[in-house]
Amino acid sequence: MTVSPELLLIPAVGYLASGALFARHLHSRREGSASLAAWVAVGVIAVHAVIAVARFASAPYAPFASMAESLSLYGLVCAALSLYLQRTYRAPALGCVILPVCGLAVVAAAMLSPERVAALPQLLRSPWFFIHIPLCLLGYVAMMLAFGVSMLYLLHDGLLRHKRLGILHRHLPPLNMLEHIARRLVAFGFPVLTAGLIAGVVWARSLPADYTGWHAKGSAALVTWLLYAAALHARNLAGWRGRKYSWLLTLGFASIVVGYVVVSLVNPGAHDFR
Amino acid sequence: MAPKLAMAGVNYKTAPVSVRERLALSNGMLESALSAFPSSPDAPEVLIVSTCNRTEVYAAPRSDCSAVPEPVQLLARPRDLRAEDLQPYLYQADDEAAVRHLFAVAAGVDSMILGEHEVLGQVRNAAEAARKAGTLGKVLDRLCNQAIATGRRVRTETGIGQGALSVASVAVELAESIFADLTRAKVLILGAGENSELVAARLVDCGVNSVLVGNRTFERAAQLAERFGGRAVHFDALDDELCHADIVIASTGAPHHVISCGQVQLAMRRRRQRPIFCIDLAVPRDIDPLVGSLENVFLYDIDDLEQVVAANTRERESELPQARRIIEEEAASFARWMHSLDTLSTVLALREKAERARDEEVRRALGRMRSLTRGEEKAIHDLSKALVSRLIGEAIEQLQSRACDEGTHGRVQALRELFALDEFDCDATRGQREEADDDSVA
Repeated sequence: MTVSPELLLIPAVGYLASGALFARHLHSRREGSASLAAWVAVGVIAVHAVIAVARFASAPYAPFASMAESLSLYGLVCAALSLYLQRTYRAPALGCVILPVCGLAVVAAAMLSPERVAALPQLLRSPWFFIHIPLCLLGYVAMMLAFGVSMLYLLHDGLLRHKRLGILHRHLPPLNMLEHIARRLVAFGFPVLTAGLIAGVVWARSLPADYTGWHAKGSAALVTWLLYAAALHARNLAGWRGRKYSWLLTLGFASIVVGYVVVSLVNPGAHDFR
Repeated sequence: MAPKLAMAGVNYKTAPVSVRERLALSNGMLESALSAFPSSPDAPEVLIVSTCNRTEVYAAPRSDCSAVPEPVQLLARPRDLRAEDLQPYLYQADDEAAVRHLFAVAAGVDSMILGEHEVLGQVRNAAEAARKAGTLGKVLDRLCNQAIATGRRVRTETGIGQGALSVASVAVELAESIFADLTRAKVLILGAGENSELVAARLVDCGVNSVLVGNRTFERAAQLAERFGGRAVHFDALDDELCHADIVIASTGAPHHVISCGQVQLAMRRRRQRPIFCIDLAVPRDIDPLVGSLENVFLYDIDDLEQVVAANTRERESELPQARRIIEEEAASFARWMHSLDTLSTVLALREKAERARDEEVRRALGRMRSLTRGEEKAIHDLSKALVSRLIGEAIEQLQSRACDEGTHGRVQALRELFALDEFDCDATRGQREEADDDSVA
């Protein structure tokens, strides 16, 4: 049985809707409106997980063998972790930044997915596949969450600076807590991403032909890595905090989007090693 | 028609403090005042809500025909005052208006500080005291529970209790939106004025435990520091202290800026850009306004804080219609419950009256017909029962099935009048009481 990729549009719309519910909560004085949004998000994640499992059951190798499948998995993990963060830090505002991005990732997954899950080229069937890709994906997830937190920081900082205090300001977590969450996410994501990239290089070198030369995806990944390395240094050595640090993390995430999605769309074969 | 529930009270709008203080009952006094009221089955139900801004008495008769209590008398009694003396300061309400009033009180809609939270706890305490003293019956018990539920509902469904309403609490709210954990924040107070003391006291209440005080006269600084368990610092050491402080409260009487932009810039470099919250309560201002444009520095002067207070007040007021809608809804639901009680007692009274009439008439008829067999007597009993049941059974069924409908109250009243059930009820109750008295004598 094949599960049509169009079904992914259901969780995609669900993520956008629950993001909108979280945004509504930020302007609502009702205390219960955040839990409604959270429950909707939990439901959407469950539906997404069922669809994803059903799709992979038909052609199993790994649930991240193509760009589309990895985007879908990425959206799923991001949404689930953002809910976890929201609960842990009582920051429902995070949902209205992260969940719409998850929604867009899953829309892209639905558009790009072939009718049947494509088989993995023989060349890529290697244990390295299960090290390089999950590590990079996990690193990207952490960085996307850090991006969401940075957006909230910039918003809250702007409101406090311009003295526009009201319901929105009351729903946002304290500034130093936001900075603390972002810092921890980067502290976790950066080594994971580094390990993922190193695994990729080692894997490429172990292949029969030489694939270690420059190509767009590899270069974009290097730029991303350099940006996050710079952000870490700027914070720890030059004392870049608050807005500057948040802008750096935003820039880092933009470079992830370029390297992970845009490059693959413009130059689809670049990272296939065929 | 006599009210089923009545209230009377004085509050900050109707009575000066000199009157309110004579009526006010603290928590401990509340219980003893209530226990002075009888808690026998005939005595009215009584609830006293007493806060620094109001003292109110709610009363309800325990049965349909016991005397309706006069809440003014109940209000005056615990303090041996005369009801006439209270008259000019008094407001009174009956039935639904009284219910609506208590719900509004619990919701904080009737409070001096709109939407304040304390009053809900005070209503809860009042209910608890009355429950302990045994003066809560079926009606007031439900009234209290629903008032507390209404208070909670209004606060969760509207923003009436959100947003600080004083300069000090706005400052704390702001500090909490910059620093997640105030217990780790260091506060530097410059100028030991009344305003800075108020703000610092609120911060300390909210967990701040590191306070530094700088003042022109060191002794005054030391006094204030001692009050907050902090440390006095010399003005000369300001630059050093500034780089450790997370929150700066300035309210000196200096005619010029006490903290310059350069000083804060230097401090920010030394504290590795950790955020700093500056509260300038002084006029003329103590902190150079340019400081507010620095990264990770948040500067609020007295006007900013007062504007926030004004905005929050407006915001709370804008929630009033929504709060009142909830109160109306809850009061209507309580009124429906009261009416369903009426319906129930009317149904019982109607049945009882019909049964008595049937019994009397059957006895009289049987007395005239002496030669009847047991079977014939039974047939006459059955006939009379069937007649009564057919005549009133349908009406009773209709009433019971529509106990909570809109127009049922009117129908119940009409029924009570047509069948003279009010007088019947009281006669019956009196009869029962006399029987009970006879039993106890026997």
